[in-house]
Amino acid sequence: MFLNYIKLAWRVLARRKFFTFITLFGISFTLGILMVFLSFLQSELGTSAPMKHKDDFVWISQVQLIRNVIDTIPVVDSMMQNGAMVFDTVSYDYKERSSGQSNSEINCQLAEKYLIGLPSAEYVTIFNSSYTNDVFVNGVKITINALMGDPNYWKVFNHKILEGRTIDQDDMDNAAQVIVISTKTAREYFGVTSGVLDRELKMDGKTFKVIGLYPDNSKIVDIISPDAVVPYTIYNMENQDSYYFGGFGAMLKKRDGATTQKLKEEIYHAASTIPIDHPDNNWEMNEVNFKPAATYNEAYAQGIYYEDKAEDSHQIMSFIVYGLLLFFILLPTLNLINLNVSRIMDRSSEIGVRKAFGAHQGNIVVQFIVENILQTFIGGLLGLILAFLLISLINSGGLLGDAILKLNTKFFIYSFFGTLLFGILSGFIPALKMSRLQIVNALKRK
Amino acid sequence: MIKHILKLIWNKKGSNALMALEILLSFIVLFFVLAFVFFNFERTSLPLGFETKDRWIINLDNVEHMDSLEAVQAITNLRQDLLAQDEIEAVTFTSFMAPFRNSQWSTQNDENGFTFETMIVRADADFAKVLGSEILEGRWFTEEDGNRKDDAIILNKRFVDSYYPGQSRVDSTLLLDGPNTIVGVIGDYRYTGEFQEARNIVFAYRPYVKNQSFVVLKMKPNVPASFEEKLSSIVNTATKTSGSTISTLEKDRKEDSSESWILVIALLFICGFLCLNVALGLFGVLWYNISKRKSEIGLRQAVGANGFDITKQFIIEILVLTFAALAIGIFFAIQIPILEVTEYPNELFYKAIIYACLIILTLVFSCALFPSIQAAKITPANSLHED
Repeated sequence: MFLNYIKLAWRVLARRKFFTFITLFGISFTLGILMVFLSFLQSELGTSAPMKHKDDFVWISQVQLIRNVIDTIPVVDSMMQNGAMVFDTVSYDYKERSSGQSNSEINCQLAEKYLIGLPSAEYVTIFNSSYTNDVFVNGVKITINALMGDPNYWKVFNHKILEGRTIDQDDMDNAAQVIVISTKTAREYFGVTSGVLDRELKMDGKTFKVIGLYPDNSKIVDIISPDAVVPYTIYNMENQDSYYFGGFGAMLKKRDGATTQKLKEEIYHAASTIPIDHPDNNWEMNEVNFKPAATYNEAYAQGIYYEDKAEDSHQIMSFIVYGLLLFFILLPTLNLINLNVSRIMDRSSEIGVRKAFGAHQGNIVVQFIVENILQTFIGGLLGLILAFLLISLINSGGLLGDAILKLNTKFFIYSFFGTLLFGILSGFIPALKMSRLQIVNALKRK
Repeated sequence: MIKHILKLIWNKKGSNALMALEILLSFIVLFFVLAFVFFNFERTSLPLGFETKDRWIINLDNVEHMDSLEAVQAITNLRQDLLAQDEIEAVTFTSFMAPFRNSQWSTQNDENGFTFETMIVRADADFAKVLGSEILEGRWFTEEDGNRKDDAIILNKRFVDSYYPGQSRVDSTLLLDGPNTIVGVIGDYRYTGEFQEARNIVFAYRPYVKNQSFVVLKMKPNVPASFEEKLSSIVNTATKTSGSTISTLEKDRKEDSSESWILVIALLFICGFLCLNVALGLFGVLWYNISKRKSEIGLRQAVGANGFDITKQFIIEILVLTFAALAIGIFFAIQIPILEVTEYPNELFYKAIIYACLIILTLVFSCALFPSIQAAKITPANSLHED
């Protein structure tokens, strides 16, 4: 039966070429652009390596000092009496306001002391992601965006290790000048993408020994895709800007069974135990917070649309993204419905005959939906080709900086369901309308 | 005639409602996209207020961590070494509020009897020379400004226009963390990027030895990129590390704005596609509908309507529908500027509404034109014969 439907659908498509073109154009473009968008979301917020545990993360990038002061506002009522000002009543209004705040990256020792050992955290990695250095190889400048990290960096982020090993506790304790590099750095610095172990890399006036190699993971967020990782103990962290501020951030991975919400609460609590009366607090600040102390998605949303609470940013961004998507899908769907509804009357006699021979309303609906789905799949296939073209254009042109869009199985599954949904949505109303047609009316028109 | 057309529309209210809904949705999408695009274009059309060509920037790594005397010595040495190079024309040292770096320092203050909001940028005596700032009034800082009892400050024009419209403020005092004398007014300095909001700025003088975050260099024209290696070694020797990084302002400017450009272009591309899609759909539907109304057309022609009348009728029919859809769309869109939902200027939204309407009317009109002209070519003999 389905084969018959498909045969029929094919005939219908071939019959009115202009309408088929309009339909396929709309479907293929919509789905193509949707696929590119999906692929972007997948590469940025997906859970492929090194972000396998992404949903267990709580991210802290800054420490915030706030000065909350109670403002007293005297309100004086006065009146003019015989040409002189006379005071009547004075009332006071008290308002709490924040009169100053200071946000910056965290002091390494502060992070070590207050963020390591939280009960809900399985691993905590502390890192400085702004260890950027220019090195010159044969007169060509290479900028290495390195990260100063610790052994846990690899437990939190599951970068695949292609060669050698990662930084271990001995390297940390001995402040060993060792470096784990990405294939990008290997290619740029050594001109090869394998066999770089034990070679020397000169950077920042030091000579690092290469101990490991991991694949380049192109993402917009720098902590996930550093060009190289070195132990942060190569610098003496006791000599930082202030007791509170330094260049560090932290990523916490929650323990199995704990929730990110619980971990967040433990972080809030930890922050509240930080002494506020340290001499480095020279602006009379009276509150300390770790920021954003949010899940990866929430922090990502906050990077695009800033709200004080990352959860709010996430909500607003989701709202905007879903809203945009809805509009984006709704318009071509409506277009297709419109086209289908007006053209379907062409086939009233066919429906009349089928109904006269005993087809149920359901049969007719299914037939039209199958037709529409077939049409959408042809459009989807064209869309896929378009998406491939667009993605390779974006990647080769470096339009998104270092970020590389990828197509993977998950992407195909999502696209398949997206296409299916689109087909059902745009075919349902016309199909329903047709199936309700009375036999008499349908046949009379001929 | 309008009454007749309204009746015709009403007779097919189901499919016409769908078509109106589609036009309404297109309007809403166009409205938001255009508002966003206009907003960004308006910002890029403002001058940056500084030169980026042949300007290099060095991010100093270690100096802030040195003890203060050592840092002053390092910066003094670095400046001498840099100025000794033939390739370098002028040098300015800035704090972390440097071009295309995202750091901002803003403050609110009500000591002057009114509340003002401003960003603060610390600059040395060579800042204007290196960045090519346009001095509108007064002068730029000199090194003697370091010897004053109060502090010397320079305002941007936007600041003066916001709080002292039409007045000359040079040589007057502004209270901001103590008394300051205004020595000059400059055009602008939108250092956070081309797509960023233009804001009030107060420049506060600080001698170069205390600006330890960034160095901006004015290079002689056509210095090759290979000079970077030599420059890097000069910086590293003077600051005793090698963590400093060098970039050019031209490159930073492109990188900084490319993200916004990509967003604008992607939105316009998607929006253009949506419009095209809707236009094709409308065209198809109209063409189809008109071909279904052959007998009506034939009848009208038989009783004396000419081709133009027929075309006119179909076009007016679709335009009435469009106006109805747009009226609903405008009703919703206009709430944004009227209720001042956002902090953006109202003109932006009015402009977006007008342009969105114009685009939709043009689209609908051109989609209706061809089928309507085709309709006019139908002769009574043919159309009535078919029945």
